[in-house]
Amino acid sequence: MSGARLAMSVASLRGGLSVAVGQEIEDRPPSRPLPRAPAHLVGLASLRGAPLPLVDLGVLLSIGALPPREGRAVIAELEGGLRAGFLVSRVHGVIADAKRQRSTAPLDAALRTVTVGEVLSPDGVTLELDPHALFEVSRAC
Amino acid sequence: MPADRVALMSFGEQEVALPAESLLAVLEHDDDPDDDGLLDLAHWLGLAGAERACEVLVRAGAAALRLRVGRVRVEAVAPPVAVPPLLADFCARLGVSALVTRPAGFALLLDPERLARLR
Repeated sequence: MSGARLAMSVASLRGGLSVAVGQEIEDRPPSRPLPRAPAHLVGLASLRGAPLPLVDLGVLLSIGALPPREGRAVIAELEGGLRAGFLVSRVHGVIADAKRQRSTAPLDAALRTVTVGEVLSPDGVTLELDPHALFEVSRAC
Repeated sequence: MPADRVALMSFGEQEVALPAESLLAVLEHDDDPDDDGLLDLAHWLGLAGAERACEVLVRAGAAALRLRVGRVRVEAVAPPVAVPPLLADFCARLGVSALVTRPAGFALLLDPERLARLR
């Protein structure tokens, strides 16, 4: 599969998300914590007046939490209004139309669940994240 | 924009709301630890307890539910907004039916009937 990906990093991990899903980048918005929420669900923010759940991608992928109030939010949306702000350390830009290949890196269970392969770019290897899997594991229950 | 009325309660930085029409009475709280008929809302939500507790009696369908809460104030608010789909299961488990827009974010709007079923 090819197509443009938004390249982002969480600690030392570099991940890519299809630009069809990750459509907007914001500075980390202020949020209120949610009671009894799992650790990756860091709070509920307001984006243009609408509620936006914030997911710390580092916690979700067992890499480590972002410091409070740091990072950027990649606003991702799937069909059915499924929307979240995924908090990342940095957004690098767009990788244009690179081909995906099977991942060669050894990945732990949390990463394997949400990764569909890797993309080679002049900046190095970017793991391609599966947006549906990301939302599925983010779903708080 | 038409306004709704809700009964708002604060637990630390978290605000929780109940539909104002469900509020039947505000009662004095006597801190009886053996009171099985009372649901401590802070405990239910895993929040810090309110400093000055009181009890409210709310309509929960055909029944009534007694809740231990903090200070209650009734305010007019914009119509509640739907829970984001990502949080649907999570909110259903807590008895949250919608969100109320507040100056500093959103308050969780509890459905007393659902709360009574879940407890």
